[in-house]
Amino acid sequence: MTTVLPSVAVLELTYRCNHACRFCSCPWLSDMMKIEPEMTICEWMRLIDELSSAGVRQFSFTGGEALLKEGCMELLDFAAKRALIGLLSNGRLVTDSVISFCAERGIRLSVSMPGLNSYTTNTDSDTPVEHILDVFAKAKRLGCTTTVGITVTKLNLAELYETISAALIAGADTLLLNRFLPGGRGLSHPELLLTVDEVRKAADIAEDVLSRANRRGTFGTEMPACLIDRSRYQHLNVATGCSAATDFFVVGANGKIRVCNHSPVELMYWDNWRSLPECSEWMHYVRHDYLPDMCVGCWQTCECLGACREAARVFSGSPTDPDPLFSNVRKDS
Amino acid sequence: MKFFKNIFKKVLALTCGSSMKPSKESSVKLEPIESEFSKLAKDGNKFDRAKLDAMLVKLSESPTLEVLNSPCAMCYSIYIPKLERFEYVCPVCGTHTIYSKCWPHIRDELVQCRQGVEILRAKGLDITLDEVPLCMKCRSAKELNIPTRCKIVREIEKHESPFMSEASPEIQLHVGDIVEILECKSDYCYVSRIGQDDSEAGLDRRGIYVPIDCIGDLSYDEVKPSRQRVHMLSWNINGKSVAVSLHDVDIMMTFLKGEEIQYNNEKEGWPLKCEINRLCELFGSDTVKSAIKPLSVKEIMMNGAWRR
Repeated sequence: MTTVLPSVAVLELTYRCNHACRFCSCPWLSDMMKIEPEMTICEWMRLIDELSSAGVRQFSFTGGEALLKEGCMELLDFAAKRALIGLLSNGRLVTDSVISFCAERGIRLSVSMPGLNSYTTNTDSDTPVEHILDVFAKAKRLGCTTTVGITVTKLNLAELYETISAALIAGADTLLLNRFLPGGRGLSHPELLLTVDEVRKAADIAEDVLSRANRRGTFGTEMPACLIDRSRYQHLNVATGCSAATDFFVVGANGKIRVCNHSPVELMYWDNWRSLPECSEWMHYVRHDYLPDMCVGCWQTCECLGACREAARVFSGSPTDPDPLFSNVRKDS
Repeated sequence: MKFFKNIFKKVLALTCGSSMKPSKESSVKLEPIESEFSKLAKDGNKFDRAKLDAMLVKLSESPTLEVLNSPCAMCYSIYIPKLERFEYVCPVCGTHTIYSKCWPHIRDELVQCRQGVEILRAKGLDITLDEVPLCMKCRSAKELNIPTRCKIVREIEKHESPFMSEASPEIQLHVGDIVEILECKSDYCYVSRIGQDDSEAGLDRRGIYVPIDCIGDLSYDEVKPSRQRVHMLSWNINGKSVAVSLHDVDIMMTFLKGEEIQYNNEKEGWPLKCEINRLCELFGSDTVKSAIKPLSVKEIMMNGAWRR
């Protein structure tokens, strides 16, 4: 079987959110991307029907906050009959009934919990972190697979061990760790950016907790291969490659395709997906053309793009600029 | 610290079924949860790293979910079960060719072959990786239905099911066999090691030269010449197309790192002497000789590894 579509489609159902996380990289929260009318649930259904027939086997629902989209549950039900489904949420609207709904349909629930003591500050919300722990516990009881999503920033690194531990003990099945990448609202919070040593420390902490608990996790943000020794991590999958446009792509709330969630560049309306191979921006990612000058000649470039190219674009202006992580290299010893 | 105490209480409550109530703000009404952590709950009313660690250890005794290890990152990654599937994304046309089995062999070997090429290019060798056979669209466009190169079929035991399905004519590169292909001047295909023989006998000794697509539990004379296809990774070295395998890349990378290569100096077993010969062709025998250490099969077995 052949297709031009990656197997995972991330669907940003709505721009709206009921949290205001400082680290949020949604590109419409900056002036790099306009907010346009959102697709209706019927249009989303047509998209899911067509793309699942064209080879997409997993849809990840997000936003904004996906559960704020009117008809979201109806859409989840529709999609769960056609593909693997993930629901990424900040957890605020996740109730017993939502968990039961997901459990019955095999929907994987991923809930953000960026800290314990720092949770409220990081999310700028009045959602109590205890509620998120409740969600993991309840989901465990009901047989709903959950992932705790933690974006590591300067604010929550100090309590990362406790944060991961609490989530796993409460019932989270796996960990999704991301390092803070400036973008969207996060562009206004450069103080949250980690140094290389701090990113390594975060990975070490995660590996430590996961190994003690015999759990597994993934580092969702690629790392430059030259800055991290992947062999140190047996329980945390640390990746150096970018999967944008190869393993996944994004459909925004307005129905336009982007290569990844960080990207402010809208390529085309989803129903033109067959012409993606004719889109140069798309093919740049397929071919891994975007390589920082500093990486040219490196033998690891077949598996490493010098970390996140879209974060580089958003932070510095070009996808061939260094990852924001390198802006903090000099701060390390 | 007070906050941590509260959180710790909360975690204990969630896992131990204590009398703690969910916060008023919570929209989730929890019922008491009976769990294995109840003993720890008795004195677990304050945050303590040691107690937390003990709970993690307890947790480790419960079943865990394996995550899919991928070399590529995805910020919105969710847990998905491991699938025997590999998607080859063609860097030329962008087409995804979906292989339903052999995951993760093809991906891993492809990545390592690509790395090997990068290393060799950095060493000044004129070498590229020809991935066309992996893309169903490009393969069709080039009408690669005549075996211009060769195919190595993965080791197949007598009682195993056919390794390749009709919809997934994926490559299977067998370690160690590559050198025999490298030394072959003409185009050919063969089946490797059908049956019980676990040796690495050379093609000349096996005397097996059969058309491609002899997949599955076929005996040699069951292969149909009409079913010929080519699916093969190859390096183009100095204008010459050469089939490669992970094993070949491995040896070259070991050599390039300056490490000693222990190889089998006997007629059977791997790594083969002819692999070393191939290395000599590429880098010169004088250079290679200083890096190799011939061993017998017994010595290799005793060492537990063929290289260090």
